[in-house]
Amino acid sequence: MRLHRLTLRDFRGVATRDLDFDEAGVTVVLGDNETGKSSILEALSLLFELPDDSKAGKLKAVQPAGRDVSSEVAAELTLGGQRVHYRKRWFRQRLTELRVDPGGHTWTGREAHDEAARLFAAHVDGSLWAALVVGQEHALAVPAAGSVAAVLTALDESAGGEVDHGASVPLVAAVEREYQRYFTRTGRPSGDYAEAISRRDQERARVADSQALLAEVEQDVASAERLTRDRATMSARSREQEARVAELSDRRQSAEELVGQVDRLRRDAEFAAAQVESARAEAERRAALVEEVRERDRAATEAEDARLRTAAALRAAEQEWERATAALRVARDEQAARRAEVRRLDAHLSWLRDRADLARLRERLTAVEEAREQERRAAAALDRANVDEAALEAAETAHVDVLAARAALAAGAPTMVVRRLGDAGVELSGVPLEEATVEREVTVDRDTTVRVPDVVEVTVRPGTGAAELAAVAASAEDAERRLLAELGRPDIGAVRQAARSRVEAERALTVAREVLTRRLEGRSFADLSAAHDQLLARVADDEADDIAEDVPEDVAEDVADDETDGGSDDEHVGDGVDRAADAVATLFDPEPLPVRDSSAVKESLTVDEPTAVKQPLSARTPLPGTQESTREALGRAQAEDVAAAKVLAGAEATEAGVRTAFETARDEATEARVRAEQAAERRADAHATLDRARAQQGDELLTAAVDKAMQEAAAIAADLAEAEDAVSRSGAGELGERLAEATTLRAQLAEQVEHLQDELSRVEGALERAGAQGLATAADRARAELAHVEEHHATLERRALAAARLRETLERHRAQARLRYAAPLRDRIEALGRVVHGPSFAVSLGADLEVEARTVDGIRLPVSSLSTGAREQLATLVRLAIAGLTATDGSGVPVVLDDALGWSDPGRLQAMGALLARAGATGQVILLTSAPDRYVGTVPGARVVRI
Amino acid sequence: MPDTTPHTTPGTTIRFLHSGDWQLGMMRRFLGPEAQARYGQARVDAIESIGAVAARTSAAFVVVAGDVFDANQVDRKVVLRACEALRAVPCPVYLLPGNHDSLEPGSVWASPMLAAHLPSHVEVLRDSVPRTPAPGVEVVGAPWRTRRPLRDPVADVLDADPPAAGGLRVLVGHGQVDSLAPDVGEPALIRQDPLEEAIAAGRIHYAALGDRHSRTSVGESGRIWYAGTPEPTRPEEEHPGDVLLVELATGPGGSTCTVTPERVGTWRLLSQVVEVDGDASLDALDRWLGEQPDKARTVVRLGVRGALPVAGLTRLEVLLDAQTEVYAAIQRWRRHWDVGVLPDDRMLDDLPVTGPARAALEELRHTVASGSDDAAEAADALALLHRLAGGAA
Repeated sequence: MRLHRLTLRDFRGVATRDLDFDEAGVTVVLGDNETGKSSILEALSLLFELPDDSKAGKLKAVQPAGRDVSSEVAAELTLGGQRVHYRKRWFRQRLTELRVDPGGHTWTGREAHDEAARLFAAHVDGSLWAALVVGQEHALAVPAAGSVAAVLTALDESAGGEVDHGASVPLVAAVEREYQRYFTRTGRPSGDYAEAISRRDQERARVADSQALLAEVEQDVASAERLTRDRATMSARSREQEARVAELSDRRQSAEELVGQVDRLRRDAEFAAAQVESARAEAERRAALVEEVRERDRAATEAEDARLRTAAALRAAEQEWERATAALRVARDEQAARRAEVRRLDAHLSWLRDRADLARLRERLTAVEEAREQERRAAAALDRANVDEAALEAAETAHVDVLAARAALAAGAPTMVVRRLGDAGVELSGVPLEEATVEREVTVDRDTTVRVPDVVEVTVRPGTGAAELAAVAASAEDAERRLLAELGRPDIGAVRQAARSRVEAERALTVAREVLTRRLEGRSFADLSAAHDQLLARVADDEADDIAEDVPEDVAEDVADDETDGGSDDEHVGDGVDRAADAVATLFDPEPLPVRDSSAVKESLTVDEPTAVKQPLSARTPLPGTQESTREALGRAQAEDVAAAKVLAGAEATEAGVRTAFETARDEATEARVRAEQAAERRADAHATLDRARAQQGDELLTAAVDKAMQEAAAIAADLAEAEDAVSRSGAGELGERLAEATTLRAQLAEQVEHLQDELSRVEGALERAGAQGLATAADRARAELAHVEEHHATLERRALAAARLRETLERHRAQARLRYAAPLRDRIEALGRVVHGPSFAVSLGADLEVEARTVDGIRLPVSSLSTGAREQLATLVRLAIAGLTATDGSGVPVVLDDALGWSDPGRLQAMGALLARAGATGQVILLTSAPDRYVGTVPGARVVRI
Repeated sequence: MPDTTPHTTPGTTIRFLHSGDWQLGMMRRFLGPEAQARYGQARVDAIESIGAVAARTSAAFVVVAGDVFDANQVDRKVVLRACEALRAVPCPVYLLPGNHDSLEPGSVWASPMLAAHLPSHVEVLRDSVPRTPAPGVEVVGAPWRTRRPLRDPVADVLDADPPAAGGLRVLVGHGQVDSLAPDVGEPALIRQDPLEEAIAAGRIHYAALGDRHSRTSVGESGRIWYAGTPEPTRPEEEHPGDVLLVELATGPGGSTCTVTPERVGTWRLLSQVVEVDGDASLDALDRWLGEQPDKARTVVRLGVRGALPVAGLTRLEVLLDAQTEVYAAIQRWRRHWDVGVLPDDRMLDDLPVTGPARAALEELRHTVASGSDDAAEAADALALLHRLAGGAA
């Protein structure tokens, strides 16, 4: 295409302008700004583009501002070798005219427009036009030659037919379509392929999920199986532990019983020790008693010796009244002996009674179940036994006074002996003498009458001395009686007994309290009662034996009677009084006195005394065993006493004249006799006490009791040791800990069993829920689905990879071909460039034949990095190269540059000028500029048109 | 198969069915969803077929020797359908838990749904207490209580007291027999020797075994059998698809045992490996596939070996695509799928391809011929080029 002439009328700011262009070479259109240089290109474009009736917006801008005139463009050009005249008027008097030479074909109106467009399209490569006809706004853009069909045609031609565009393009397009079925332009999977990948991934995830669920179930199954096993094991252990706890519990109970036994034995041992102590104390008391008896014996012997001595002294001192004095002394001694015998027997009788009492007391003391009663009774007895030491002392003194007075009376009063000789009744002081030939001796201490009724009455009056002595004796007896009455005791013996009873009662109370305390300590009353019953039975048996062996029958009977009576202290006291009364009664019994074994008395009596006192007496016996025989012996003794008194009275009557000396001797003898009697009484008391004690419990029994208590204590101690050993062996101490440990372990095990059961229930619950979900089916289904999706994916992938592989291979080969093919273009650009930039100038072209980079002096710069001037120069170089390539046939277009190269320095501009000139040599070059110095003088041979 | 054993007295005759390995709920990956559903239904239908055989043969009872369900976690629908199908069996049925459906915690046998729907004439052998479906006949199960037992699962039953004199005892067991097991170290194998001793001693008269999906007679006694699965599950199985009709009788000389397979299966799973070298071989494959009966219930595991021209490859694909629509499934057997392209195919030469495209074609052809790792992909690309360039028209 060649532009020959362009005419503008009322186009933008241009009123009228005609421009002519040379057929070839460079035309520089020089004009100031706003003179319409750019309108030239616009007019040319609108001419072919818009019909005359167009209402296009951009057309409006063409009409001169404020003037309602038509705008007209006319051009004369060569298209496809034909000369074309084309004129168009818009807005008013619209017009389109086309004439084509040779031939002179003419079109008008729309036809003209269409024909012109057809001609332009047929003969002008639009891409080439766009590349070479450049408005000033595009001056810096480096055109891509690959988009210019004419360039490609030219390159194909130069490639000599090796490039087969025609055949390859559909294939390339088909490959591209195939590729794009699977991939995006950037190579990412797309469409079905992407969906297949996505589905495969989804299905994989689903499989993984369902597998995970199944794995959970399997874990639960395994865990349930394990839990079941564990629970069974734990349950078994728990049961074992249960048995162990029970066993330990039993063992501990046994151990506790052992400990209880030890406690009981310890209490028994304490009691046994107390028993030993008690037995020993008893034995000691017995020893003391024996010692006391020994002492009393000695004292009695001494007193008797003293009495004998005084008697001898009396005989020696009273030579003259020796016989009388002796007789008197003997008589006195005899009388004292008789009285002592009476006392002794009396005391013995008391002892027999007391033994029975003590037997009962002992029985009572040993009656543990009645210990409280005993205590109370002992206390009561104590209250009643009002004879304390002072009272005893007073009674003893009174008694001694009586004895002294009586002795004095006996010595000083006359004695009358009455004997009935015939059958006539004889009364002695009003009392008939019942038997004949029996002497009755009466001490005449008051008026005493002997009357034979109807025959005679003889009154014997005592002398003044005797009456006085009788008064003294009566007074002393009165005093003693009063004192005894005060004390409530019949005689001194009872008082002494009461005093002893008081001591006993005190001791009994103490013992009862001790026993009570001991017996009750740590033990139940029932136990004590049972033990006591046992003991009592045993003691009663022993006692019975002892009594049977040692005590005469009647004593045993008394004891037995008293036992059955269940007698009390009161009764004993009463009994004592009764017995004393018996004894008093016995004193007056007419039975003969027993003869005391006293050879001295016998001797003296046999020499000088009248036969009256030497009457045969009943055989003397040692101390009798029974109360009855004792009473008999007492009677005899009292009779002997009476006889002795009779002898004494005779002696006194015979020896009245020696009374003074006799009295002195008598006083001494009396004192010695009193002392001897006292000592003898005390000895008798001591013996009685000892005998009673022995009768109650023999010495050997006491020793045996000690031994027995010790043996029992030892046996209990042995039992205790054994029991303690058993406790120790039973491991009672650690059993508690072991039981506690075992119990804790049992609780832990039970807890574990429960925990396992809970876990198992939970897991089984989870399994049941899982079972209802069909997880295996779901997993199978997911796997099957995955298999399908993977199959599908594999197929698509295979196809996708085949497409990608084919595309890549094809593209690679095409790129290589294109490089070979683009070589002429590159060579042309580089040839032009070397003029401007020197011999090192090189460019590299891309797939679309666009310049990718420029290299100068070894420095390669991508186009985007070039300076504005360099880029403008490069753009111009590429356009000139394209123009050069396409100028060879008629389809070439002019190179039109609007206001280009404004950024180039003068040196480069000079070189560019040369190139433009060279381009002008082969084609039409039109340069529009407002800068006259840019081309004028730089482009050799350029024609300058000023507007 | 006659046999003489002592301790039996004449008079008892019993006829029953022996099945096993129903594997209800099993899914096969090579089946599409639709075929999968039909396959699953076929396994349920097999129960009804067994019921029909029972009716026809007047069987006294049916024993199912384990793996009734494919898993303990099967879908509830599977359980319900099984229960429904079991109603069609006209005689008592004894189901034995096997390794797939062992009596482990949470097993399908413990599901309330099964308890609610299992017909009354069906009993699960949860223990080894003898059942007496007929006078003088005992059924003794050896259920799997866990899926990984550590000893011979039937040992305890063999050690139990023998049946009463003259009685017949059927052992229902599950597991691999040691003589057939590939791994003798597996602890849960059924030891064949004691089993045969028990049979010889008259303590057991028939051992109905499950686990092996191929119908198999074990040993020489003729009384130890695997019934095989009623519908095939793998192409490798031999003689699947049957139920065994067992007839036990005591006679004057001892007891006799006769075992007859009865067909119930409707599906076939085939393995086929073909050699291809050109159109003739493809014709043969096409013909073979076309000749198979009952394709909708047939699965072919297909192996293809050899090399084809590009067009042949394309034809193979088209051919298989078409048959896949007809068959239940045609599974490509990876292990035996080795088909290459013939690189010197004249058809490639004749393609209207020039310039860079021709160069690309030649490069791909060269790669295919080299047999390198990417040869298969190159062959695919070559086939694609062939098609896109109009060669496959």
